[in-house]
Amino acid sequence: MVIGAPSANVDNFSDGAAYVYARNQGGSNNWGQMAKLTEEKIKGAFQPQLQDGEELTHWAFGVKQPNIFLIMFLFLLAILPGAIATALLTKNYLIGLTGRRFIILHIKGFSNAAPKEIIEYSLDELRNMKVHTSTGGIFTHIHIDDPNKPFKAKFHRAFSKTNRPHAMAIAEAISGPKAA
Amino acid sequence: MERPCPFCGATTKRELCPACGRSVTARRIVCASCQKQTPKDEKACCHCGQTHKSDLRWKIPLIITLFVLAAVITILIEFAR
Repeated sequence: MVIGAPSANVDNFSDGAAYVYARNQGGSNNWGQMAKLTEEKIKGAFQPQLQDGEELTHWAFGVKQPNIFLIMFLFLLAILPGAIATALLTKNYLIGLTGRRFIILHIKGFSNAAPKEIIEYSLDELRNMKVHTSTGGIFTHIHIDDPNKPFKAKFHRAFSKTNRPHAMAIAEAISGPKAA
Repeated sequence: MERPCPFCGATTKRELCPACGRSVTARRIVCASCQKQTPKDEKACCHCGQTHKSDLRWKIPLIITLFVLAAVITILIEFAR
Protein backbone atom coordinates (compact mmCIF):
# COMPACT_ATOMS: atom_id res chain seq x y z
CA MET A 1 0.00 0.00 0.00
CA VAL A 2 1.38 3.42 -0.96
CA ILE A 3 0.35 6.53 0.95
CA GLY A 4 1.12 9.95 -0.46
CA ALA A 5 2.23 12.74 1.87
CA PRO A 6 2.32 15.95 -0.18
CA SER A 7 3.64 18.11 2.69
CA ALA A 8 6.10 15.71 4.30
CA ASN A 9 8.97 17.76 5.68
CA VAL A 10 12.16 16.05 4.65
CA ASP A 11 14.76 18.83 4.33
CA ASN A 12 13.21 21.47 6.58
CA PHE A 13 10.68 22.44 3.92
CA SER A 14 7.62 20.84 2.44
CA ASP A 15 9.05 18.37 -0.01
CA GLY A 16 6.43 15.67 -0.21
CA ALA A 17 7.01 11.92 0.01
CA ALA A 18 5.46 8.59 -0.79
CA TYR A 19 5.28 6.03 2.00
CA VAL A 20 5.06 2.32 1.18
CA TYR A 21 3.43 0.12 3.81
CA ALA A 22 3.22 -3.67 3.85
CA ARG A 23 1.50 -6.17 6.09
CA ASN A 24 3.47 -8.34 8.55
CA GLN A 25 6.25 -5.79 9.00
CA GLY A 26 7.45 -5.75 12.60
CA GLY A 27 4.94 -8.30 13.82
CA SER A 28 2.16 -10.53 12.62
CA ASN A 29 -0.57 -8.63 10.73
CA ASN A 30 1.16 -5.34 11.45
CA TRP A 31 1.24 -2.69 8.74
CA GLY A 32 4.86 -1.48 8.87
CA GLN A 33 6.64 1.05 6.74
CA MET A 34 8.59 -0.59 3.89
CA ALA A 35 10.20 2.31 2.16
CA LYS A 36 9.83 6.02 1.64
CA LEU A 37 10.35 7.63 -1.74
CA THR A 38 12.00 10.73 -0.29
CA GLU A 39 13.37 13.72 -2.12
CA GLU A 40 16.87 12.44 -1.33
CA LYS A 41 16.15 9.10 -2.95
CA ILE A 42 14.67 10.79 -6.01
CA LYS A 43 17.67 13.10 -6.30
CA GLY A 44 19.91 10.09 -5.80
CA ALA A 45 18.17 8.30 -8.65
CA PHE A 46 18.92 11.22 -10.98
CA GLN A 47 22.50 11.75 -9.77
CA PRO A 48 24.22 9.21 -12.08
CA GLN A 49 22.47 10.81 -15.07
CA LEU A 50 23.60 14.38 -14.32
CA GLN A 51 26.61 15.86 -16.07
CA ASP A 52 29.29 18.05 -14.44
CA GLY A 53 27.90 21.35 -13.26
CA GLU A 54 24.36 20.25 -14.03
CA GLU A 55 21.87 20.52 -11.19
CA LEU A 56 18.39 19.12 -10.86
CA THR A 57 15.99 21.99 -10.29
CA HIS A 58 12.58 20.26 -10.33
CA TRP A 59 11.37 16.70 -10.07
CA ALA A 60 8.11 14.88 -9.69
CA PHE A 61 6.66 11.41 -9.39
CA GLY A 62 3.96 10.22 -11.79
CA VAL A 63 2.27 7.16 -13.25
CA LYS A 64 0.99 6.09 -16.64
CA GLN A 65 -2.00 3.84 -16.47
CA PRO A 66 -3.44 1.80 -19.34
CA ASN A 67 -6.17 3.25 -21.52
CA ILE A 68 -9.40 3.76 -19.55
CA PHE A 69 -11.28 1.45 -21.93
CA LEU A 70 -8.70 -1.26 -21.35
CA ILE A 71 -9.07 -0.79 -17.57
CA MET A 72 -12.88 -1.01 -17.88
CA PHE A 73 -12.57 -4.11 -20.06
CA LEU A 74 -10.23 -5.77 -17.54
CA PHE A 75 -12.58 -4.95 -14.66
CA LEU A 76 -15.49 -6.42 -16.65
CA LEU A 77 -13.40 -9.47 -17.43
CA ALA A 78 -12.79 -9.99 -13.72
CA ILE A 79 -16.39 -9.28 -12.66
CA LEU A 80 -18.24 -11.06 -15.45
CA PRO A 81 -17.27 -14.67 -14.61
CA GLY A 82 -18.26 -14.03 -11.00
CA ALA A 83 -21.61 -12.58 -12.05
CA ILE A 84 -22.27 -15.47 -14.47
CA ALA A 85 -21.22 -18.06 -11.86
CA THR A 86 -23.56 -16.48 -9.29
CA ALA A 87 -26.46 -16.53 -11.78
CA LEU A 88 -25.78 -20.15 -12.75
CA LEU A 89 -25.53 -21.38 -9.17
CA THR A 90 -28.57 -19.47 -7.88
CA LYS A 91 -31.72 -21.54 -7.42
CA ASN A 92 -35.16 -19.99 -7.85
CA TYR A 93 -38.05 -21.09 -5.69
CA LEU A 94 -41.76 -20.48 -5.43
CA ILE A 95 -43.31 -21.40 -2.09
CA GLY A 96 -46.97 -21.89 -1.36
CA LEU A 97 -49.00 -22.62 1.72
CA THR A 98 -52.38 -24.37 1.82
CA GLY A 99 -54.51 -25.38 4.75
CA ARG A 100 -52.66 -28.71 4.88
CA ARG A 101 -49.32 -28.39 3.12
CA PHE A 102 -46.30 -26.21 2.53
CA ILE A 103 -45.26 -26.69 -1.09
CA ILE A 104 -41.95 -25.64 -2.62
CA LEU A 105 -41.38 -25.45 -6.37
CA HIS A 106 -37.77 -25.23 -7.51
CA ILE A 107 -38.45 -23.44 -10.79
CA LYS A 108 -36.36 -23.11 -13.92
CA GLY A 109 -35.69 -19.41 -13.72
CA PHE A 110 -36.61 -15.92 -12.66
CA SER A 111 -39.10 -15.65 -15.52
CA ASN A 112 -39.90 -19.32 -16.10
CA ALA A 113 -42.17 -20.90 -13.49
CA ALA A 114 -41.88 -24.45 -14.87
CA PRO A 115 -40.91 -26.66 -11.91
CA LYS A 116 -37.68 -28.67 -11.91
CA GLU A 117 -38.23 -30.11 -8.47
CA ILE A 118 -41.11 -30.30 -6.00
CA ILE A 119 -40.80 -30.55 -2.23
CA GLU A 120 -43.79 -30.74 0.03
CA TYR A 121 -44.29 -30.85 3.78
CA SER A 122 -47.54 -31.45 5.59
CA LEU A 123 -48.12 -28.93 8.36
CA ASP A 124 -48.24 -31.83 10.83
CA GLU A 125 -44.86 -33.03 9.55
CA LEU A 126 -43.36 -29.56 9.99
CA ARG A 127 -44.30 -29.51 13.66
CA ASN A 128 -41.70 -32.23 14.24
CA MET A 129 -38.98 -30.57 12.15
CA LYS A 130 -36.48 -27.85 12.99
CA VAL A 131 -37.77 -24.79 11.18
CA HIS A 132 -35.82 -21.54 11.44
CA THR A 133 -37.35 -18.36 10.09
CA SER A 134 -36.35 -14.74 10.38
CA THR A 135 -37.22 -11.46 8.75
CA GLY A 136 -34.69 -8.71 8.32
CA GLY A 137 -34.78 -5.38 6.56
CA ILE A 138 -34.67 -6.89 3.09
CA PHE A 139 -35.10 -10.67 3.25
CA THR A 140 -37.35 -13.19 4.94
CA HIS A 141 -35.30 -16.34 5.57
CA ILE A 142 -36.78 -19.83 5.77
CA HIS A 143 -34.62 -22.79 6.75
CA ILE A 144 -35.99 -26.30 7.25
CA ASP A 145 -33.29 -28.35 8.88
CA ASP A 146 -34.38 -31.86 7.99
CA PRO A 147 -32.00 -34.61 6.79
CA ASN A 148 -34.45 -36.01 4.22
CA LYS A 149 -36.03 -32.84 2.93
CA PRO A 150 -33.75 -29.89 3.70
CA PHE A 151 -34.70 -26.45 2.42
CA LYS A 152 -33.11 -23.06 2.72
CA ALA A 153 -33.96 -19.89 0.83
CA LYS A 154 -34.49 -16.20 1.29
CA PHE A 155 -37.28 -14.09 -0.11
CA HIS A 156 -36.63 -10.53 -1.20
CA ARG A 157 -39.14 -7.84 -0.31
CA ALA A 158 -38.58 -6.01 -3.61
CA PHE A 159 -39.78 -8.87 -5.83
CA SER A 160 -43.36 -7.61 -5.56
CA LYS A 161 -45.48 -5.60 -3.16
CA THR A 162 -47.01 -8.76 -1.71
CA ASN A 163 -43.87 -10.91 -1.60
CA ARG A 164 -42.79 -9.82 1.86
CA PRO A 165 -46.18 -10.13 3.67
CA HIS A 166 -46.81 -13.53 2.03
CA ALA A 167 -43.32 -14.80 2.89
CA MET A 168 -43.69 -13.55 6.48
CA ALA A 169 -47.12 -15.20 6.80
CA ILE A 170 -45.74 -18.52 5.51
CA ALA A 171 -42.71 -18.23 7.81
CA GLU A 172 -44.99 -17.62 10.77
CA ALA A 173 -47.32 -20.49 9.87
CA ILE A 174 -44.59 -23.09 9.40
CA SER A 175 -42.61 -22.08 12.46
CA GLY A 176 -45.71 -22.15 14.64
CA PRO A 177 -46.19 -24.18 17.81
CA LYS A 178 -44.10 -27.33 17.92
CA ALA A 179 -45.20 -30.79 18.95
CA ALA A 180 -44.55 -31.49 22.61
CA MET B 1 -57.45 -36.98 3.37
CA GLU B 2 -57.24 -38.75 0.02
CA ARG B 3 -54.69 -37.55 -2.46
CA PRO B 4 -53.30 -38.75 -5.78
CA CYS B 5 -49.86 -40.30 -5.81
CA PRO B 6 -47.61 -37.90 -7.77
CA PHE B 7 -45.85 -40.86 -9.39
CA CYS B 8 -48.53 -43.35 -10.42
CA GLY B 9 -51.74 -41.36 -10.01
CA ALA B 10 -53.41 -43.87 -7.68
CA THR B 11 -55.52 -42.29 -4.94
CA THR B 12 -54.49 -42.98 -1.38
CA LYS B 13 -54.94 -41.79 2.17
CA ARG B 14 -51.62 -43.24 3.27
CA GLU B 15 -48.07 -41.90 3.24
CA LEU B 16 -46.95 -44.88 1.13
CA CYS B 17 -48.83 -45.41 -2.11
CA PRO B 18 -50.44 -48.92 -2.12
CA ALA B 19 -50.04 -49.12 -5.91
CA CYS B 20 -46.37 -48.17 -6.44
CA GLY B 21 -45.06 -48.30 -2.88
CA ARG B 22 -43.47 -44.86 -3.00
CA SER B 23 -43.89 -42.09 -0.45
CA VAL B 24 -46.46 -39.65 -1.81
CA THR B 25 -44.70 -36.74 -0.10
CA ALA B 26 -41.21 -37.68 -1.28
CA ARG B 27 -38.94 -35.05 -2.76
CA ARG B 28 -39.46 -35.25 -6.50
CA ILE B 29 -38.11 -33.84 -9.71
CA VAL B 30 -39.58 -33.33 -13.15
CA CYS B 31 -37.97 -35.69 -15.64
CA ALA B 32 -36.22 -33.76 -18.39
CA SER B 33 -37.19 -36.45 -20.89
CA CYS B 34 -40.88 -37.24 -20.24
CA GLN B 35 -41.76 -34.23 -18.04
CA LYS B 36 -43.41 -36.47 -15.43
CA GLN B 37 -42.69 -36.38 -11.70
CA THR B 38 -40.24 -38.94 -10.40
CA PRO B 39 -38.62 -39.45 -6.96
CA LYS B 40 -35.37 -37.54 -6.59
CA ASP B 41 -33.79 -40.38 -4.63
CA GLU B 42 -34.13 -42.83 -7.52
CA LYS B 43 -31.36 -42.82 -10.11
CA ALA B 44 -33.67 -43.11 -13.11
CA CYS B 45 -37.12 -41.80 -14.00
CA CYS B 46 -39.84 -44.18 -12.77
CA HIS B 47 -41.79 -43.62 -16.01
CA CYS B 48 -39.29 -43.56 -18.90
CA GLY B 49 -36.11 -44.89 -17.27
CA GLN B 50 -34.03 -41.85 -18.21
CA THR B 51 -31.20 -41.31 -15.70
CA HIS B 52 -31.20 -37.98 -13.87
CA LYS B 53 -28.49 -35.54 -14.90
CA SER B 54 -27.58 -32.68 -12.63
CA ASP B 55 -27.23 -29.18 -14.10
CA LEU B 56 -23.90 -28.93 -12.29
CA ARG B 57 -22.46 -31.36 -14.87
CA TRP B 58 -22.20 -28.50 -17.35
CA LYS B 59 -22.35 -25.48 -15.03
CA ILE B 60 -19.16 -26.19 -13.06
CA PRO B 61 -16.95 -26.75 -16.16
CA LEU B 62 -18.45 -23.60 -17.74
CA ILE B 63 -17.68 -21.50 -14.65
CA ILE B 64 -14.11 -22.83 -14.44
CA THR B 65 -13.63 -22.17 -18.18
CA LEU B 66 -14.87 -18.58 -17.79
CA PHE B 67 -12.44 -17.86 -14.95
CA VAL B 68 -9.53 -19.48 -16.80
CA LEU B 69 -10.43 -17.54 -19.96
CA ALA B 70 -10.54 -14.27 -18.01
CA ALA B 71 -7.12 -15.00 -16.50
CA VAL B 72 -5.62 -15.98 -19.88
CA ILE B 73 -6.99 -12.86 -21.63
CA THR B 74 -5.65 -10.64 -18.83
CA ILE B 75 -2.19 -12.22 -19.09
CA LEU B 76 -2.22 -11.97 -22.92
CA ILE B 77 -3.15 -8.28 -22.74
CA GLU B 78 -0.35 -7.68 -20.25
CA PHE B 79 2.18 -9.41 -22.57
CA ALA B 80 0.89 -7.56 -25.62
CA ARG B 81 1.47 -4.15 -24.03
